[in-house]
Amino acid sequence: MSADTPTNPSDGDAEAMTETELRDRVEELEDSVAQLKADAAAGQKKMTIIATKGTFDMAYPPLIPASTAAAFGWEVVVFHTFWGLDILHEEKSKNLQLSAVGNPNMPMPNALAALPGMDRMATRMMEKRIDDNGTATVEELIDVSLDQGVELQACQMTIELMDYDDDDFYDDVVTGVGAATALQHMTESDVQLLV
Amino acid sequence: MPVVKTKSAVDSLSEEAVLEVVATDPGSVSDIDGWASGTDGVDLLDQAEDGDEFKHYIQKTA
Repeated sequence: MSADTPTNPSDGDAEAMTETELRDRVEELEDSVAQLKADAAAGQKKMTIIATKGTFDMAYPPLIPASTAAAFGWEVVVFHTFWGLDILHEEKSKNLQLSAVGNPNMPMPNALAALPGMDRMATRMMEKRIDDNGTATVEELIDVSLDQGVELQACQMTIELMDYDDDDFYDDVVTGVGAATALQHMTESDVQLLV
Repeated sequence: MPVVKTKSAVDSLSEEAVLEVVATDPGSVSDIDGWASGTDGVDLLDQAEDGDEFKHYIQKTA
């Protein structure tokens, strides 16, 4: 080992390498860091969203970022499980309900909100707002997401649990997938969200 | 969803064509700016506020 190598003499591993070897190693590492940076810059970003809720208001939080990320050219997977599956259910998605109970922002007391028909009324109010405001409907968001190449997955375990059929879902919805597939996508993703 | 609709419209344009986006969403100013700077092959030429409308001009460069 040369005298000018600034390493701790007690460090056995460093002593085993000559200065030339160290320089070569540093160059090698610099090259691989540059390569990784280039790969990351050129590589497509990926996002996985797990959608677990099926109320009217909770259909938007997974679908808005999914369609927007797709517009950015990201590869997006939304894995719908439990009540989140209703968002992909062609019939049920058109009748998602907003709960009037348990939302402190609702302009009515819980005791009143619990009365029959209140959920429907709250849903109608929200639907009217969405219509007046020109906000996309759930159906439109699903269409545009699929159109942009978002992969909408329906959890197979939940399909069986809820006794749904593959034909109940929108065309192009991916069925026959489970938690393992979702996990694999999450591992490969830059962004993972649970909604 | 101005960004999503803009993306779809840009996809159908030919190179060098300019797209005028008319949005009612005030958030579109920041959103379309962010989208254009994060997307290859598009150039945001101008953004203007016109009453209740927000206009965006996007050129497809590649």
